[in-house]
Amino acid sequence: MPHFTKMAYAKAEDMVFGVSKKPLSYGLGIKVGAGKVIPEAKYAPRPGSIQSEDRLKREFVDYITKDIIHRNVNLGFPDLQLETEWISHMGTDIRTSQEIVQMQKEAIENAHGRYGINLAIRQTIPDLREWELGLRPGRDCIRFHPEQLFECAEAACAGGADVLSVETLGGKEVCDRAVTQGDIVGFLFGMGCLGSMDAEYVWKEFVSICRRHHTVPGGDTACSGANTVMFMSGGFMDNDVQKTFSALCRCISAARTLVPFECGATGPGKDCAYEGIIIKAITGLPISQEGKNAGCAHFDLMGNLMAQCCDLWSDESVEYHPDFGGSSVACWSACLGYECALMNTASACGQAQVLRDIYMLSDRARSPESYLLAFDNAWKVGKAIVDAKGSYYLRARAAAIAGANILLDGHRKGEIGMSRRQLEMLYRMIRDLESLPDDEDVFMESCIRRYSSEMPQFDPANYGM
Amino acid sequence: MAYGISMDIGTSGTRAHAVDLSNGRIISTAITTCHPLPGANIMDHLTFCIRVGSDLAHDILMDTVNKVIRNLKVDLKQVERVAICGNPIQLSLFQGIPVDDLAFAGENAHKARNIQAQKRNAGVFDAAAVGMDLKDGTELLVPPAIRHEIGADALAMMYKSGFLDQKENCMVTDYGTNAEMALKVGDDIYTGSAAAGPAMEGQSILHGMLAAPGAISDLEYNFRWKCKVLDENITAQDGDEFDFGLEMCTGEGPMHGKAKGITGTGVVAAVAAVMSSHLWRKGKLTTSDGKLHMQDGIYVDSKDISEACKAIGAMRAGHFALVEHAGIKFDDLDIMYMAGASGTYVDAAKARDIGLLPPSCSTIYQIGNTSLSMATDLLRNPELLDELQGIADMIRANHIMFASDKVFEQIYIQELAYWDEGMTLEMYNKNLARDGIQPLPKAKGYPTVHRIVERDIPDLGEYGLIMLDDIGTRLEGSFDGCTGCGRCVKECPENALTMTSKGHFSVETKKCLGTACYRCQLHCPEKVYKYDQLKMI
Repeated sequence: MPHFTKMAYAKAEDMVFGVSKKPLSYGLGIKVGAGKVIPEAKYAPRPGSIQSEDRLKREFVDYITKDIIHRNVNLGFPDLQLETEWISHMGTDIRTSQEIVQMQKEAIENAHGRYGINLAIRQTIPDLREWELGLRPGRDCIRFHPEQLFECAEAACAGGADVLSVETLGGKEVCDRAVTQGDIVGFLFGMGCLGSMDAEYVWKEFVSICRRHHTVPGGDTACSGANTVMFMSGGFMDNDVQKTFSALCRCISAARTLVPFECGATGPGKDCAYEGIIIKAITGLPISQEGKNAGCAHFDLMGNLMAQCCDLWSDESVEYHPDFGGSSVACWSACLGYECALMNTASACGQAQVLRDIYMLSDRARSPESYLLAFDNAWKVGKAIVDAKGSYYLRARAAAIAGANILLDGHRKGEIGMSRRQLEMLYRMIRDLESLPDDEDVFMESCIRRYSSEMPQFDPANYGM
Repeated sequence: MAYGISMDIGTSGTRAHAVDLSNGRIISTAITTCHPLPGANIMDHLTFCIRVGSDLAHDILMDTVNKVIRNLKVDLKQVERVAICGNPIQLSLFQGIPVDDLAFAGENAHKARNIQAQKRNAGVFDAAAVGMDLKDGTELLVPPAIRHEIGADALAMMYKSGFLDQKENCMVTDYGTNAEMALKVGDDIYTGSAAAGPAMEGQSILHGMLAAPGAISDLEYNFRWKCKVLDENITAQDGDEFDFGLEMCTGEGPMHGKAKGITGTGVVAAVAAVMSSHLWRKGKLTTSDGKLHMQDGIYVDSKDISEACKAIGAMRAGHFALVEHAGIKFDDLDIMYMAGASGTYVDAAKARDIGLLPPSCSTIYQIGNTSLSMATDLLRNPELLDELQGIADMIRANHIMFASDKVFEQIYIQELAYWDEGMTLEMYNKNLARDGIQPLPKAKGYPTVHRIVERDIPDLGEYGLIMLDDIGTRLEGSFDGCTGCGRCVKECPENALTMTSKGHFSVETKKCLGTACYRCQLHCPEKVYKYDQLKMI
């Protein structure tokens, strides 16, 4: 597998929103990373809409899809990407899901033909696999979720997805425990190693499916691990998970999220775990990002900063319901459209770098995470991943150590404030990470032994070991 | 040694084998790169015959036939037998049979003009008598037509493909300038013939060329589009890679710098890429300069794509009309046989995606040039002639004359609006529904493609392939009252017309677009230029 061994961007300063080294074109006139930031609207049907197939179809197509498109046409926004994140029910009722995909595709084709708006649709399928039952096809003989994962991918692509994405769950059983116990080694093993191995297994097949259907393999995000820890670390009033821990989790997750792109995914990457900026620095592929306009589903301290180098700007799981300004999905997508218009106007005026820096500076010192994800520091984390040139383990560890050193250095310079607990956690993580062996086999062997004995739900066979 | 010659006369070229009759071995193969008559399709050829005269058309064609057989590298004095195949019009031109019954459709048109339908049964004739430069008494075996308008080439594609033995509903099409097609439902066979034009064969395309070194023959999808360029062995190799939506080259391949043109299969791939990338809107390419740039300066423009789309539309309308006349649904049709050079080399999955095959077909056989193949069988075994006549007599064929068929007309109107006016498939189907015609479904899944032969002509013989470009003749003439202004020469879009001296003109027939054009005559300021008065020299 071709591991990235060179940064796509020679220096961090070269990165800006709306432009990527490897732009993409797909869908009905959508060009990503080719000069403009494009809004990406995400949504969720109301609870209860799964009670009948027809209701679910109506919700997704007649209400959500058409509402969003009409609002964007009405506001004069030229480009729009939709993203359907399949609810878990859709992962088992694949026939209905494929019909929804087809109907959404027909809706965007009609709108493109009628209004001329450039459109594309990303289908993000659910990963329902359960560790206890088995992650790979043939292992889960009760619910057959591994088989269904690939069937969902096939159905989404056959139905007309322009972009296919997923949030794979590999390693989550170890990561969840590691987060609650502040165990960075556990997160490194769970996300950096197991997550990477699982992503490789899944994405090799997904890329092949996408190629057959002319669907863009968009990539993955470590939502289940890195987003979870970000949400748990919360804001200034939250202290359950230290933000320094959460920040290093993001670095490790970036090393894992790189894997689908090494399997042939072309982007635009997904955004839930906020590791996209590191991915863009390494690969030069366009990324989707979300921040302040995803407030209905996310809680983080970098709402502006995340827009700094995005190519698609996204909201998140906007539940459909009526608001004063129209339906919720229409209103939230309008916010996206206006933010993109602001960025694109800045680009047209030659002020993209200025706006990028303003976005970044407004949140840079808000938390250790935002400090690490500021584009200059994110680039350094990416460089550490690339320079590690070795195994999934070594590069994930290198990313975490680089992230820790950036935070420590920033704290010493007075650029980022940290609480005593955050600092203690940081020192502890540095100590733990630096004491790890350089030999991957030794590391893996010790982790497999340890977590197999401590966690009955961890089964190495799920990862081909 | 006794030799035989098998020959397929097509609308856009002639192919021939020399065969050793003692063992049936193919010795050599010669092909032409175009038809010698003016015009690009069967309608042009017919119109030329009607307006200018069948005798002249016959003479021009025989001139080319004799050039072809002279290049087969065998002693023509030792040729004992010739077997021929082709569509009814080409065979009629070859044999010197009137083509009026094929030019005018319908009983009323025949009655009004006192046209007698010609019998085109199997027969043994004298090759020299029809104008072949062969010794007197050389046998000429002509296979039967199924009916007067369903020719031997249609029989060949049915006979050679296994179509006739297929128990399931199935369709066969000989993809050429004139696309012969047949649908089998139970024991009933529905046939038709769509004048698709030569775009599918790379002709009438700005950078179009036949399969030769330097030709872009395909575009391979790998999230971007990679040109496949034919090398010196006519094998497709990787060329440059493009993102057509972004209008940028994303990588150079080993064949960078070596592309010279694009083949018909390349044009089909270009149409597939354009449609997949949604770059076709209301009859225009939506790229910044209206061109789809491939490597080394080769591109297709909106006119090229439009030409190809019209051909696709004609074929799809033909298939659709047969399905409607047979009274089946698309879902009842799964098997497709693709004959002819284009049908053999084209990427069948791409062809289905853009409409060259019925969208329901998921089992596809690519079977090569059945016309030449059947003629060669006949050459080796003349007794096959009786068997073919028996098969032809047995086939309960219902021929749909597309030119006068209302169903075809209605579908083809939708096709034109779909490709050139930007009409949606939804509206296409709504319009058809008003006439009680079933909707056209979208292609689903991937077809299983069986490429039965590696090349359209699988065996070229020990001397290999000889390609003739120097065919066709010149028509010449002078016109009283001509001022020598040269307007006619300037207006000729193919540079086929030259003025050799004041008032004396010469037309290169193989380049001339013929009666479909007539710009020379139409633009004559003195109205003295008369195309029909030109004579063969």
